[in-house]
Amino acid sequence: MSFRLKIISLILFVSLVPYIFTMLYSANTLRDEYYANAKDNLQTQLSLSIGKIDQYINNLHRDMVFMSHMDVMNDIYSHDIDRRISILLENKKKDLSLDGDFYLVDKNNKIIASSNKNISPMSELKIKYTPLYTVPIKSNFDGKEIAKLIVDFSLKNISHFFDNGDDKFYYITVNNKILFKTKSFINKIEVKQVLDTKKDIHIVLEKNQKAFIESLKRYEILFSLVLFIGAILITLIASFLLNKLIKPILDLSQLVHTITKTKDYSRAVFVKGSDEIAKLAKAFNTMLHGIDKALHENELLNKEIEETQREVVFTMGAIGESRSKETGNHVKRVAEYSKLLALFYGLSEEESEMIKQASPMHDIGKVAIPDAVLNKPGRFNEEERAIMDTHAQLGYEMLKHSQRPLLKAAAIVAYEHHEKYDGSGYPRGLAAEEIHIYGRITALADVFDALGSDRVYKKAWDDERIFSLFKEERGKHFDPLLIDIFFENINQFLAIRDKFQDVE
Amino acid sequence: MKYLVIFVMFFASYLFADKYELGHGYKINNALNMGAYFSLDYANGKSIDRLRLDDMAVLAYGNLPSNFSYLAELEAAPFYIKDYKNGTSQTNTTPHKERMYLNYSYSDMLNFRLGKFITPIGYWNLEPINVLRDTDSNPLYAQNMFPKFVTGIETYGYLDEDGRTQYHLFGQSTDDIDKNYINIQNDFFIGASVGYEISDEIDVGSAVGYYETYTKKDVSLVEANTKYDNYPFLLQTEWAYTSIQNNVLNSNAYQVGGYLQGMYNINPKNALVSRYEYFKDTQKNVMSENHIGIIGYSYRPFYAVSIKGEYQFNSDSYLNKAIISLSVLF
Amino acid sequence: MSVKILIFILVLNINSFASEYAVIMNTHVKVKNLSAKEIKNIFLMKKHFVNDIKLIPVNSAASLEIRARFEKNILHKNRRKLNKYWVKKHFQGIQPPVVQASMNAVKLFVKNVDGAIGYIPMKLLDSNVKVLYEF
Repeated sequence: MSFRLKIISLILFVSLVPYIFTMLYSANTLRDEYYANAKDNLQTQLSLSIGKIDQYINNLHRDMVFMSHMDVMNDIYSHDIDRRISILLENKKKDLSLDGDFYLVDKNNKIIASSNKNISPMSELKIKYTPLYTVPIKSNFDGKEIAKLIVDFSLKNISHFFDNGDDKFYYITVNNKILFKTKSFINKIEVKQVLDTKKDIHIVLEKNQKAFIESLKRYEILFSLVLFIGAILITLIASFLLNKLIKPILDLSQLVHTITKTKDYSRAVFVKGSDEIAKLAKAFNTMLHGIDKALHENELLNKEIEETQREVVFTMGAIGESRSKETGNHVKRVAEYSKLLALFYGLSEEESEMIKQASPMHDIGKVAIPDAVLNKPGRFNEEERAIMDTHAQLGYEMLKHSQRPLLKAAAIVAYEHHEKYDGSGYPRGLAAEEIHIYGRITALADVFDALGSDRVYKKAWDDERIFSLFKEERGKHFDPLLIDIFFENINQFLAIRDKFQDVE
Repeated sequence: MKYLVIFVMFFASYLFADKYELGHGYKINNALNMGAYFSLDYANGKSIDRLRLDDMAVLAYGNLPSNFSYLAELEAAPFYIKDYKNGTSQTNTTPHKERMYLNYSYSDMLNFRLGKFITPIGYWNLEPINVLRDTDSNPLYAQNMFPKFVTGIETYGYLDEDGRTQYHLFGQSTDDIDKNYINIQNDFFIGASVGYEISDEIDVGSAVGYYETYTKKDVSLVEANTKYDNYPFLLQTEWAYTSIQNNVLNSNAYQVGGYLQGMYNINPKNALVSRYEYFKDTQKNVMSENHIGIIGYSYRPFYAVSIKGEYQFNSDSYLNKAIISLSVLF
Repeated sequence: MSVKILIFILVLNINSFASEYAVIMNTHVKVKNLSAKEIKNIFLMKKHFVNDIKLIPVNSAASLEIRARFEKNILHKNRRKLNKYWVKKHFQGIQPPVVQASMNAVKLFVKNVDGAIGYIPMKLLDSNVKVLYEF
């Protein structure tokens, strides 16, 4: 996860989350309020209806109590033979538009009078609906209870007060039974209230909430849109701010990356302002400058060391040469030939360069050969030859203690440049691959230059003679592969010889 | 006014009642009967020019279990007076407790009454309201000689099997329940009266009494009355004598008063009435003796609705006046 | 013998012509016969007791023939006089007797209520009620 992504996530987290939370909370509150309002309205409607119903039932009860005290109740004694009570009850029933009937019964539940014309007098009371109220009737003369007035009350009476409509309807629940429920809405709100006059009767008002919920949905879509746009806006603002904020940091990191790749420590970052990032950039620039300077100094130092080393080696080679009869440029030419051979042989540039620098030291051992032998004109005798041949061993002994790769290479060259491929060389008589490649290369280069040069003891050979000797000595004196390489690139060797001609 | 509203409310639900008869009250049940009455009169003479809505009253009564019964009556009177002579008018809506008592019947011979009730003396005092009278005015006898109401106890009943002889014994030793609402303020009153029905037409009675007024007068009373009622004639007369001991002035005085009234019914609804009354009171500085003659006419479309007119001839002609009235008992 | 029977029938006939109606009470109440004056006082609500029994007079409906006969023969008052009487009694807090609409209802009422006293035609008499007075 990138730094940028982390910062964006953080900013979104600290701004977007509270934003969304607040929006959702307020939307929820609004929705609840809306809902509560709708419910309140419904409750008010229901309360009004219930008020009417309660009043109706109260009136019914009051009327019954009133009737029970009326003088005409004396007719209970004459079993309502003149139907005056019955007529009263019938009229009352008509007045109240009552569904159900009034019954006046004696102590044995025999009907004395009723508002139901189909009931025969003195029959047993049968309740059809609910005996809503029972009012005792007391004698006008002795105050004893002589009968009861009962109203058989159909709940349909209550349903007359139901102001049912297309989008709302009432129903009754009594003892977990549901009555007058003609339909049901899918989306609905409902309110319930108990009758004051009859605590076991609940009236429920159910209202279709399709329209309500649809408008709520529209509102919710709008809300989601606002929420979404708000979130996008916040994200955009966040990323804009972020870009401004972290651009210097990104520039810095980009530069670090480039510098690491190119090792160009001379570059610098430019950041405006004086904030922490700018300070960091300045510090970074200072650091870069320091590194650049240090690196530069180091490089100069290295160069000097290398130069010194090379000069020492070369001078040592030259000292060796000066002890022999060979002229000054011999060392240089052998060095060049050796490097060329090494390169063509397939060694690396570094190793080839090292051979080039090491090869001039091949005759360093001659320093220890006495002048009498070394500068003797003419041929050496057996003894003198033996002394002369020790220069390979001596050179090796002089250089072998160094741990430096260049001097180690020089030790090898000095030790093995007189060995021959067929094993007939000296000092150790090594053959073929036993001879280090440095030795084999230097042997060829040394002989080629020696033959082409005038020496104290001989005149220079012409090229034809040299080439035929080389061909003859292929696989004998010299490594055949090196001879092949030599002939393949003969022009380049010749060009080197021309370049470094001895000038007398 | 509340009681009027209640009355009207009950009257409105008359639908439930037995067939209502004007003047018989509105019977809700045996324990509650409601009634009301009012009277409107206009009097004109040298001394008076006045329109008056006199009584505005409601009453409720009924039988209670165990031979108890009760009656309560509230009245505002005079409810409204418009005096054309001095151009004033006056309204009085405060209800007063006119009657309020509880009865207990032990037997026909022995009944008890406790509370405020009409003093059971004579005929006139027992039917004091305009609608039950046959004249617009009350005789001086009925207003000045004894308190119209007793607040106390009464024992009454019939002394024989046939119910011809009736007696009343009553006593009061307190103030009136509504002491500002009585003709003679007193705090002690005892009395006895008897009535005897000689025949269906002839009735006689007599009473004695003693009372002490707020003005420190001890008054003793003797009264006698008789009535002849044989349609179309009605003749009745009542006379009383009081002996007054004035404890403030430490003097004695007396009153004599009475009337004789005759009525002739032309037909059941129309009647001619005539009355002579006499009243003498020796307490006045100038000895006061009044002779009053009245002729009047009564028209009752129903018995409970009375429309009357009369003219009074007074021995002091300044007091002569004409009165017309309308009164109804519901 | 036949003359006696004849006289008996004659007397019976005269009686039956003379007494069509009877004042009745139920058989639970021990009451001696009542006089016309007593019955009058009972129905005018002046008399309330007989032998310490509270009486409940029951009138029949005002429209019935029997009621008119009762008022004329027993109460000796016409409707106008009775009306005046009850208007005055209303002021005194006394109500007229309860009313039963039919003669059968009067009989049933009297049978069922101790102390009730009413009047019915003789032909409706049965063993549940006893006659106190005939008119």
